[in-house]
Amino acid sequence: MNDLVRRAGNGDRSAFEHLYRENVGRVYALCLRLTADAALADELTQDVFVRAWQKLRTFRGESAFSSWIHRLTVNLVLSHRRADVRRAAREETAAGTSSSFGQTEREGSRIDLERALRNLPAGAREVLVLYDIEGYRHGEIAKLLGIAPGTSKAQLHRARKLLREALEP
Amino acid sequence: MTHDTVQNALHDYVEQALDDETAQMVERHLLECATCREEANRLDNLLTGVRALPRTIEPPRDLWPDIDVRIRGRGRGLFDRSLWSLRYAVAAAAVILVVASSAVSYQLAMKARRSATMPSGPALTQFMETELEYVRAVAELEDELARARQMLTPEARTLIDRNLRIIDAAIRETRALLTMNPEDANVVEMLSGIYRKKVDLLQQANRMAFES
Repeated sequence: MNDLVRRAGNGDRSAFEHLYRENVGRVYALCLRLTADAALADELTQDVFVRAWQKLRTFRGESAFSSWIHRLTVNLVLSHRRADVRRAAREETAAGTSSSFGQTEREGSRIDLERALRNLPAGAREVLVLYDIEGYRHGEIAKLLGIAPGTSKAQLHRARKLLREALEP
Repeated sequence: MTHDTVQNALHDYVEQALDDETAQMVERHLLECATCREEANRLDNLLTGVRALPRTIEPPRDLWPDIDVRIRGRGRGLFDRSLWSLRYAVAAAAVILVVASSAVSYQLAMKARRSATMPSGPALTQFMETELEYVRAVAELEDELARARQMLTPEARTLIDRNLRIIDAAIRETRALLTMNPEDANVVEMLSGIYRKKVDLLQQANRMAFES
């Protein structure tokens, strides 16, 4: 097991801060793309690391810390979405936070793609992010989202079609 | 292979997920059909763009200070106490916490007021210890609520979560203001007031869960 992970597991906050710095970009990108809401992504990223700190003692080191926290992020974001109450609150804030999405992007086409991604319906966006960007398979996505693998595939095709329509005039 | 069949198979074709025989059939169709060929090219371009997106995006601000406050205020494993599933245990805990945290809330409010009116040193520095105690009190109440929330109606959960989000946003914004104006005792009072509101709301939510 990585020394930083072992030290953080023993309560060393400065070691955990190093782990945060190494992984925050990946966690934030995932939260941002799955939620399409910069304020919520900020909040969920914090939640992921707080949860990781609490669960670190249960981390056995069978996988890399980055894979472990990636899985933790996906589970946390999706469980957040499943909660109707919070979803409603997120929709309230989404309109006011869209301008900060993609601020760090440099290339025009990439910004267009991120923007089109943000505007996809939630279900289609989640499947596309998990499948095309994060490399999950339909069987895994189906389990995570509580849908059939066929539905995952249909959502992916729908998401790609909508993306193309948004990007091609 | 019909035009429609090929259209349906294009995603798998572009991803190279088809068996050799089917892939060859699709390729033969693509040689003859400009529409499908165009469709395959556009899909391929899209996937190339999507897969080239960066895997990391840095958040627009450093989130560590907020995370650090939260992990200092919250011990390990509070979310994971699964033995608290019995209703009477949750109810008993809620009663104890409501009583205990009312006293805590009062003491913290007095402490915050004192630190805000102290004549020397930045208000922020003096408030940090109090803030940590607020964070701990909030963490305790949140953990209780996490265990008890299933006893609330969906409407009550909606209302509570919505209000918590509003309060959390207010805490974030006021905290940022205090960081920019560490000498401002008025901002300390404002922040302390918002924390008190959060403690009050969580107490009420736990009480509702207990009484439902």
